[in-house]
Amino acid sequence: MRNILKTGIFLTLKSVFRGNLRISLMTILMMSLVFINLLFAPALLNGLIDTINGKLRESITSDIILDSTSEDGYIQDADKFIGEISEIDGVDSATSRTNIGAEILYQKSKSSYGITVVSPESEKRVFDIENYLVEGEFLEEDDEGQIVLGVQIAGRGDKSLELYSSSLKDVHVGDVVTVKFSNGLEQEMKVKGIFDMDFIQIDTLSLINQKEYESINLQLKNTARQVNLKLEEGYDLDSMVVRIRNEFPDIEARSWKELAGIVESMTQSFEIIIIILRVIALLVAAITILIVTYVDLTNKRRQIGIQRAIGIIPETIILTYVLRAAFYSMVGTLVGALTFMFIIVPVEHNHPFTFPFGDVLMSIDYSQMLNFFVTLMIVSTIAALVPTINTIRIKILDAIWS
Amino acid sequence: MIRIKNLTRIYSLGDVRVKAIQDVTLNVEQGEVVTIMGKSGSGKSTLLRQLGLLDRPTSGEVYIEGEEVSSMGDRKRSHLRLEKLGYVFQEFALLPELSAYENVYLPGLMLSKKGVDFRKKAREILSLVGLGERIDHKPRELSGGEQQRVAIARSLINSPKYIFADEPCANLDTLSSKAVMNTLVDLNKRLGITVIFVSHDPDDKMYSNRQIFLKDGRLVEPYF
Repeated sequence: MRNILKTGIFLTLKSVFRGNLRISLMTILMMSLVFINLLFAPALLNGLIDTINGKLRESITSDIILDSTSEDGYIQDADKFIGEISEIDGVDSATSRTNIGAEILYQKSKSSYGITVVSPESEKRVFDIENYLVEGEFLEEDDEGQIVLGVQIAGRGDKSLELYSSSLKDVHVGDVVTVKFSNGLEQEMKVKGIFDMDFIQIDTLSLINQKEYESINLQLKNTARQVNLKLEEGYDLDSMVVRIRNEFPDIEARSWKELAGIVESMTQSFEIIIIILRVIALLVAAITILIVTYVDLTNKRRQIGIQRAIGIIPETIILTYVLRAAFYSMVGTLVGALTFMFIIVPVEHNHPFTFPFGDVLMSIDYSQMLNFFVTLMIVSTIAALVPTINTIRIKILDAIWS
Repeated sequence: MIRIKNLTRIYSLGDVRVKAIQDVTLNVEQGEVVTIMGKSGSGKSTLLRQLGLLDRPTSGEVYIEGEEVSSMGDRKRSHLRLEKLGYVFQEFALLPELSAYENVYLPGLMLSKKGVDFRKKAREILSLVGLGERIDHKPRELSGGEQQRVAIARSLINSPKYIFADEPCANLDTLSSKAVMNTLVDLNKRLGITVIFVSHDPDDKMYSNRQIFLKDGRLVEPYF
């Protein structure tokens, strides 16, 4: 066995480095392109998922969402509850939110996406909407009669917006809109800021100050529909959810992952596409290696006959071709991986793909990369093995005379 | 010792069956130099290929050192070729990607016996056949005679008991032919290797102890 391996490696090295250099380079190039192809779509999907998840966490879910299990659905004495929950080790900050039914009117336009009541100071610690303002400023604790709108509600005169037709068309900071709450109250509010997170579900939010709303609707004073938690960096999400469920039995705690249904369904669709692309890429790799091996076997049939005639065991010759295919795959994947990591991804990060959720930055999953590498190696060696075994079966004299 | 018993080889070319050798029985003793002679198409090379385990007979038996080898499995025949036989082809049959030294060393690498430095041995054998200065040359950089001597050197790397040479001088000029034949005879004398070679040149009988003649695939009495 040792002799077979030694001779196989010897013949492989001679074949690769003394054979046709152009064919070797072309094969390596093909393998690197196949590897890049294998990496590209998953990296884009990973980037897409990271972008969506990131934006959802920054604006809608936070790390953990706490809901009341009471009949009215409200967390009573919200300030005290937030104080208690903030004391838990691992909780960075907490804020309350209440979604209420409302219509926003501006001139002849009307928007009916509802309003989110927030506590501006803690909101800024948990969420990140204030960093996506395209006009004006975010709410402050003492603001009265002010509202912050998502761009899909404000419209801003931008007809290219996906929901422009159902927006307020051309609202800008400083404009006054009328808010009709579902309990019949109506109030004029000045637009303080407009944010654009490039994500429809987020850009249809409208935010008003909790204190102000409580002054309008006294029944809801110091209550909240939900409390959102931001955890300290690196803190385990699932263990925190379990801990809160144990310590606060009246509260339903869910991690952001449980609420990321939109990502889940989108991921499933993408993964089917990626599997199809992956199968095609692997087929291309297999066919490339098969053709290169087959052509080489045809050209070197006489040499194979000579090798067998001088006593080189057939397994050695098979090993030579398998090792050669493995070499091409290994160098090809290395070149592909380096090209992907140090050229394609940095270029894409400078010129990102724009999706309805915003700019998507490709994200490399190294364990996935390793999986692709192993898969490509296996596919390549099998592709080399099949024609080699067939060729090795022919008689020595037929091989020498061919 | 090599013993052939009632050996027949029939080639099928479509519907036509060509009897290349028929019912050949022959013994070759250890240390002999035997020339297989005959006209073109008489079955000389076919017989040598049977002895060199490159082909299998249609019927009959081949014994090498008492062991029947014609029905042996491919793997065992490969090992036998590697360990005990050396084969020199008419058209040199060197591997073009390898240097002269690597061509000679390759079977040694495959054999890799403990205590034998096949790298050193490959150099020594190439010196023995007069190519000590040309070991790094590729086959295409060598003359026909030099290539054939590399092929002979390759056949010696495993210290074979038997060397089979199929018209080793067919593609060589007179001077190279003499050098090659003298090399084979010298190896027989110095190392006791049994040499069986095919030739259609009557002058080559001077190199051998015994000549056998083939006509239409059958052993016949000398005709000259």
